[in-house]
Amino acid sequence: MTDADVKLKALFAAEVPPAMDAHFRLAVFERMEKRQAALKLAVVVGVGVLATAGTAVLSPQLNQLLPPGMMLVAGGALATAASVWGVLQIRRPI
Amino acid sequence: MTSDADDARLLAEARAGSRLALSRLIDRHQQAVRGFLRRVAADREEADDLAQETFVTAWTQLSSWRGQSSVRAWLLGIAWRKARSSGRSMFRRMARDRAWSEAEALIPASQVSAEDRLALERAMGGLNLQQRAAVALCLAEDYSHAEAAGILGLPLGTLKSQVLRGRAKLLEVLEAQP
Repeated sequence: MTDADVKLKALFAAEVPPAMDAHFRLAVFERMEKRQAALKLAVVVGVGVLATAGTAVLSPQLNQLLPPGMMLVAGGALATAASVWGVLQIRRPI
Repeated sequence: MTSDADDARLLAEARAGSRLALSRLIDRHQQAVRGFLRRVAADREEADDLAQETFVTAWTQLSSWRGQSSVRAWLLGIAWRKARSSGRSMFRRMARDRAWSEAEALIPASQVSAEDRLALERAMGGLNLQQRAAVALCLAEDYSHAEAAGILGLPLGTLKSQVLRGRAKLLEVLEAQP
């Protein structure tokens, strides 16, 4: 190993980040939480779109099966359940 | 219990949803990941940004680690892919200017002078991305050629030649220093 190699080694050693860094860890967790919230929102929106599309496709059959007015009640209950589920998903911690 | 075994246990716990295990994994490996990226990326800010992204990606892919390498090598592999695809890691000109002003404050004068620090920045800036990564792992972190080749996903021969060329260029610049 030449003197230049030793110097190179010392230069590299001088640029070492701290061994413990709580700020860095917190920043990582913040990113994870944002990423998870975005993912959950996408899932909730996706489920909502699927539910709407499914209802639209099945509404003629459902109208025949359900008594008059029940379609509205069932739709409302489904929307409420989906909203509650979505809020619970988004608020759930990592 | 060995360090690798600790890592494997922490990773299994993190996979099961333990936030504490995830915290400990970050604490254990942030220095190595950030150190590697600081030598590869354009500047400290970018390096830390990529390091954070590395841990977020690792968190989303916890199940992909199957023990074929150490957890640290796995994380460094993710960090390398982030750096390679970031497209922001090619030039260090801005970092060089910043390094000039930061050097005195960050490094004790008795160890390394600001001029030497700047010379290293300049020399590293003259290497291509693959050479920087190879040099960072093998010369700065003392990884074996085989380990570094695994981390960077390069054939062993390619890795060795990148280290040799990178070292030669670095020494050329440093030896030209007054």
